[in-house]
Amino acid sequence: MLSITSVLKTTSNKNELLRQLHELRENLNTDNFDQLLQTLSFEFQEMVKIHCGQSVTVNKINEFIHQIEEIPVISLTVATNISDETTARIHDWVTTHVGEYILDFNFDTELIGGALVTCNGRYLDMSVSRLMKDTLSNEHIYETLFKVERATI
Amino acid sequence: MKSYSDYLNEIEEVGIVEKVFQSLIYVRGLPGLHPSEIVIFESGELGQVMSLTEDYAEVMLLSYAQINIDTKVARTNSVISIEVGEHILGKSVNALGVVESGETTVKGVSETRYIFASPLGIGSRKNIDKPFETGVTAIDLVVSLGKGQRELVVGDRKSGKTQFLMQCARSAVEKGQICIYAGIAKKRSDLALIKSKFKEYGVLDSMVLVVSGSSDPAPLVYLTPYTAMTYAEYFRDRGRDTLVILDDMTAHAKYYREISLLANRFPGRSSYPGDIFYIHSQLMERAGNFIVTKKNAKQLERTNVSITCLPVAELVMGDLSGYIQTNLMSMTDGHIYFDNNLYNEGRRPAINTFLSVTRVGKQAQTPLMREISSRLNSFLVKVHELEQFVHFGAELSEESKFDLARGETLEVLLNQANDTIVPLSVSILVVGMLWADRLKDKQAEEVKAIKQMLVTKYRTDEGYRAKLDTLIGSNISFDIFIENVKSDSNLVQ
Repeated sequence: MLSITSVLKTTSNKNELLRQLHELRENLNTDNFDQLLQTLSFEFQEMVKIHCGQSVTVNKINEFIHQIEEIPVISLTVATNISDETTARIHDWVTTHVGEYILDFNFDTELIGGALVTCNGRYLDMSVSRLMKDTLSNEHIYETLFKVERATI
Repeated sequence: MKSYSDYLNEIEEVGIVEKVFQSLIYVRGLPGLHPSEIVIFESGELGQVMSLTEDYAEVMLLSYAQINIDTKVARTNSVISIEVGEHILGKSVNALGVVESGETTVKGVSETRYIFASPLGIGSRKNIDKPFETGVTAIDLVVSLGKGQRELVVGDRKSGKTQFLMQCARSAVEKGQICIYAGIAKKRSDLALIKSKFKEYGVLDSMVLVVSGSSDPAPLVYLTPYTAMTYAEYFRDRGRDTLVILDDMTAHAKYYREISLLANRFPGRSSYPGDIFYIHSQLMERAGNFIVTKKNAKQLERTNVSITCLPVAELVMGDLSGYIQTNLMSMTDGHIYFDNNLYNEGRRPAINTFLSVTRVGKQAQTPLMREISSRLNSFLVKVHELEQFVHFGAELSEESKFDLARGETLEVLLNQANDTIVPLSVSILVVGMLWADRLKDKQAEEVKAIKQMLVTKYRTDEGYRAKLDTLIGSNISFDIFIENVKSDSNLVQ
């Protein structure tokens, strides 16, 4: 069976689908309904058919919307834009090792690299800037640096 | 205190603000949060956890700042604590222990204390056995207090309560005690006036003012008396007797009610929350007479130290049966009632001794003081009854007329200007003079002048002071004391 998170990888996917579902619900018993359904991507159409059945009702759409909203989110703050391929790879890894999650990407160039990860109230700073800060706050690093410099002189 | 990002990286938990109701913030996330923990917002503001539910943590915001939805929150893994030390004497601080702007402080040795500390157990307590001098004749002789007593000061607005408290503070400081004054939800102008008065009297250096204005956030007002009590406990543990004044607890109850109603707590009587009694009783229990182990130069020393507490409750139209007022009466060791009618008659302080109670004071008194107190109480009741007869135009015997005249003189003696302190020994002496007929047929102004003269003499003449204190401190009865007053003219001139 097609699971929601196999189609919805990021919060932008989720928000887009929710927007379309709200529009479908508004136009449920009108002539526009079939037309609107055709504008959805193939995967989204399949998901609507699977979760709402042959006869789509307001209650079924509301249930589907509620299911989507309940999907937990992992928030990732990264330093640069992430390609779709990388997004898919990260999402697959999460699905395999962690569970059914949607990824929410934010950008902050001050991280330099790596990511800040937030999920279920937990926070992990795996950024390059944090690593550099921790390294440079170690007093011994200056000793090591000076010794190397003297040796080269 | 560290920054938000320091705590975030250290504890590795984050929350998001989802709802804001004035000073109550609902935060989602922070799975390891525990009750009463301090949290820090992204903007640097602090909050205290009030309660935890499955979905949210309810946080009390401890500042004026506006917090937006989606603001991130980090745990600090600590509870609300203040820095205490000798450096805080003479300063005014807010409920979080931050010295008010414009004041500098030189930090010496200090420690951090949790403001919601549990009271000491029964094993560390002792019976109250020493008198507490307020410097107000009416209280010291009729409604006498002991060191470590919790005595409620209750009365209408503008009935002279704060003036009386200032007299108590002055008297306590003169006797070497530390005084903590908590101004709870007061007008800033009133707080400034109180501080300037203490400075004028020269007692500010032995005091700490813990203040919160009426426009301060409700959580800060709520924390004010707990902060004051924490400072008192610090000085108690240093072996110093301390007086704590909580002015006033009815305003404190109102601000706590506001927080509870915003937090959707079920309203009880008069819309106060169900735990309003506990909020005040846990505070009162931290005062008392204690046995404290103090580190001396070479060894540990066990000493008796007291925290005397004077909470204040405001009445409306003299109604003593209010919810908060009766709560406070039941958790204290007596009350002093300031009567508006007496105030309007010009009596200062306007204390109604018939409606005032002290449950503990007598065990702290010497036999002489006990006898004087007993006689005065009986005499005042007698005079009051005679005044009722006079009111109806009944004819009186010579003895009754004499008692009425003596009663009028006693009233003059018990009256006292707001800015004067009368030492206990002088109060006892003037009552002795009254019973020895030394003040017979004297006008009110003359009586006042004699009393003032004796106060000045007591303060300036060391020999006289020692003589009077020795006489009063010896185990004599009131009748023998009267005989001494009659025979020794040096005592009374």
